[in-house]
Amino acid sequence: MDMKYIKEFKEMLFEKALRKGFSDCEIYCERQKSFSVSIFRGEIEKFRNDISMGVGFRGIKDGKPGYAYTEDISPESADFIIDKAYENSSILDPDEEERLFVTDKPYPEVETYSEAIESLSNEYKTDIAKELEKKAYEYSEKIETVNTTAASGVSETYIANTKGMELYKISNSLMAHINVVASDGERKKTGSEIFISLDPGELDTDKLVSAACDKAITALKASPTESLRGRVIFKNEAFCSILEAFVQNFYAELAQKGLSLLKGREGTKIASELITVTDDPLMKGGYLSAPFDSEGVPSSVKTIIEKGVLKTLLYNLKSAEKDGRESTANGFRSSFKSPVSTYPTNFYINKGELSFEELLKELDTGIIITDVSGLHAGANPISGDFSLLSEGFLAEGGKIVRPVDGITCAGNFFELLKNITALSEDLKFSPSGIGSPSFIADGITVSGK
Amino acid sequence: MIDKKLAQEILALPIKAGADFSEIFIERRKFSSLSLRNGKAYSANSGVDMGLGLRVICGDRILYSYTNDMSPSALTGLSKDAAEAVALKEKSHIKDFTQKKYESVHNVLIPPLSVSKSVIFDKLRSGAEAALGYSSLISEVMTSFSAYEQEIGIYNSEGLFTEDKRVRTRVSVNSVAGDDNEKQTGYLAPGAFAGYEFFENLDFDSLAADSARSAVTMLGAGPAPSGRFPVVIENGFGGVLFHEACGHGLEAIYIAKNTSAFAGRLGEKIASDKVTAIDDGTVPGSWGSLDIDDEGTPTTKNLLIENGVLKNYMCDNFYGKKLGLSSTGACRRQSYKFIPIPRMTNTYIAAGTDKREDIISSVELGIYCKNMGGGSVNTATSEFNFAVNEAYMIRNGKIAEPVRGASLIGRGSEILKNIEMVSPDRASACGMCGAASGSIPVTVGQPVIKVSEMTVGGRA
Repeated sequence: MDMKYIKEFKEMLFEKALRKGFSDCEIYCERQKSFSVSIFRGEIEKFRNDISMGVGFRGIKDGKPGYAYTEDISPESADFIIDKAYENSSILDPDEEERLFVTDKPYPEVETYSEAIESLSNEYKTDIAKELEKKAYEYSEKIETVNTTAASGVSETYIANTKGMELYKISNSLMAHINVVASDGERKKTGSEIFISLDPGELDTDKLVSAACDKAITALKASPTESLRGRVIFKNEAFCSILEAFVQNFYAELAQKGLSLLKGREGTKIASELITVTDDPLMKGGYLSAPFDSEGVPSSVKTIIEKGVLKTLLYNLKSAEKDGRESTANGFRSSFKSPVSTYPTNFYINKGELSFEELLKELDTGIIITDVSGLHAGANPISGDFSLLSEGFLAEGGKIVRPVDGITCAGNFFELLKNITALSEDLKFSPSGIGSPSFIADGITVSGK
Repeated sequence: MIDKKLAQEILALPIKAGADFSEIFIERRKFSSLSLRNGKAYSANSGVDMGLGLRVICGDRILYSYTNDMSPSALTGLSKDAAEAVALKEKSHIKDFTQKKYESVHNVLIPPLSVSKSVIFDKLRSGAEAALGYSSLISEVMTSFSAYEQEIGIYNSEGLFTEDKRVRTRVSVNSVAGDDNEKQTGYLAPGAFAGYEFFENLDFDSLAADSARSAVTMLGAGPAPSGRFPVVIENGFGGVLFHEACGHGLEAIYIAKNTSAFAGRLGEKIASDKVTAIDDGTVPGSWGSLDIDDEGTPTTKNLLIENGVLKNYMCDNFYGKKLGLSSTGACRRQSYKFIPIPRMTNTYIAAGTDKREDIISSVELGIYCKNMGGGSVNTATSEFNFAVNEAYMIRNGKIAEPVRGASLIGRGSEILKNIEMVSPDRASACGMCGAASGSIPVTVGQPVIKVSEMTVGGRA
């Protein structure tokens, strides 16, 4: 980030804003630089090299926030966003006063940036994608189509306000992705895997290829099962997707609006005793690790559910003030364009003690759900109801007997949390920072034939 | 929006290095939104998006870069990087620009960014009161407005220079019925390629009350059954079935890559005789319409399926050429940050001849889907899924009790053959469609249709 340029723009913006009548204001600036290369049939299919930068402005007038943003960092746009922010502030009718933040407390050290990734050449990343593709075609003759991508990105954030806060953070990562289509001449099935890390040395291309290919090839033999209701295993990755769809219920902001069934449930049992949930922004190598949130509040590790008991919801400054407590540093903007809202960081169900094989023995007979799709439509985050197109396996006598597809699994998120009867040790995180181990849940309806 | 000389310089560098085609997509978009909760304004936003995307095609390769640093040095730097990434082949040159101008079929009257938010607020509040007043069971009503004015410019190495302006306005209402133990929602969100006049002329209070009705109805509903049933899908947003089950699989990118169940099947019977389907980007004022697409081709009315026979795909220049087909004006991108690909615009199943009453009465035991939620598809396998927001049982040829939590799953290739009846009364509804080139406005549509058998995933 060209800090001199940004600071000059900030000075100009603040001066114009104070003259307009704002009592306090904040600039939230993001710059992202990314590179990615995709391979299809041995050749570079897509090559991207992008830079984007934007400024989000928040001004306070009569205790009310006025937001506006711009990607055009010029004096004309400064006038436009201040006028619009002023209009936006005057129309709002908030329940509580908006305040900007400053603290004397120290900020935690978090590892979010790797020099090793910055020094990787474009050729090196191109070779990763080519190697993944080559290995996938060699893996099996059933692999019909392969798409691979390698990418790296660096993201910088600068926040400053008229209270004297001035913060900067930088993070980067390396990403490799493979998507395969397997065919047996009649049917086609897909499989994909993703790798994201701060450490290029962790990349194991063989492992990535076999995971994606095995998934697609195995699924070729899948067919629906009879409909049933009862115990199923949710595989770690499948439940990460489901947890992500329902995580908003842990936002105090939504609970206060009456949009979460967890409203007023702190201190009560909302899940099985096996369940402990943590939000950890300081995790080394965590996808969403950060020393502070978008409001500049220093990060800390929080226990959200402890042995089934809800300990706290996730707070930003405003929702914290409303409940008379401190922010949990979960006041994030999804981008410089968006107002401050609430988001989790690395949010996960703590692992259990069973190996996956022991979990399978515990299930004995039933369905293992390995993949769910259609979450944006098939999961109602407010009621907790879900009904999702699913794939997986049928298990009998503690052994996997065949793959299953064309089924839906349906249930209710809040009931499911209470009906978890066994937990594996195989904690895994999705790229969006949500983590879960595999587990057995009772009371799930599977619809098939 | 940029100097033509500079545009030529940017386009020329990759071509001189051996690229086949280069294109600049430049965009400036002003955005405005306002959201109310129970009649009180809780969120208001405004902003400017601005940037330039450079697309370079070299054989089968696509190089894409974007920036919003619009200084000449940054822009030529972008172009130099792209030129370096192109393997040296025989040198070529670019053509001089000929500006192409198209008459807009849309008649935008009131630029939405010019309207005071207090005027918008009054109408949103009135809707919220209508929904809250519908029933004491309504606990929460969110009403919102959003609009943008997008100006784009396209320059390419084949001498095209064209500009366009898109203005879109959309409103939504989400009513929540229930208490702390159980909640159901009713959501409606119409929009148009139009200015503020779209909202001004809309009976928003009735719309809001209808969303409240849907939420209250579902509150009393028992769980949907699970298993295979005949399914009747209401017109309008029901078209999301075709959008997911078939539409995505007809986008030329998946055909060219052979990752669609419909690849290589032009001229084949892929659906029942009752099915004629169209993607039409030219409908005046429609949410999914465009005068020109995002590589400068005028949009068309594209007959996809005629009486069950596959007639055409949705094509842009790049993937169309790979298939030996012309662009259908379907090349779209969310913004300058996305590589454009063939996408849907306004897609619908055409009207049929079966009477609505006959369709319902033909079902002994089945599901009637009044309001659909969203869905998704895996184009390679054509396996799709979508949610039903408001569903009822059909018993002995009559619509019976409401049921909740239903989702419908199947394979597009199979479901198209199972469309048994199609009514004459077609309607459309708008939505946002997400894919590789971002989230774009589309409309879906259909008459009332009956699918002979589908897997319904409920909890009962």
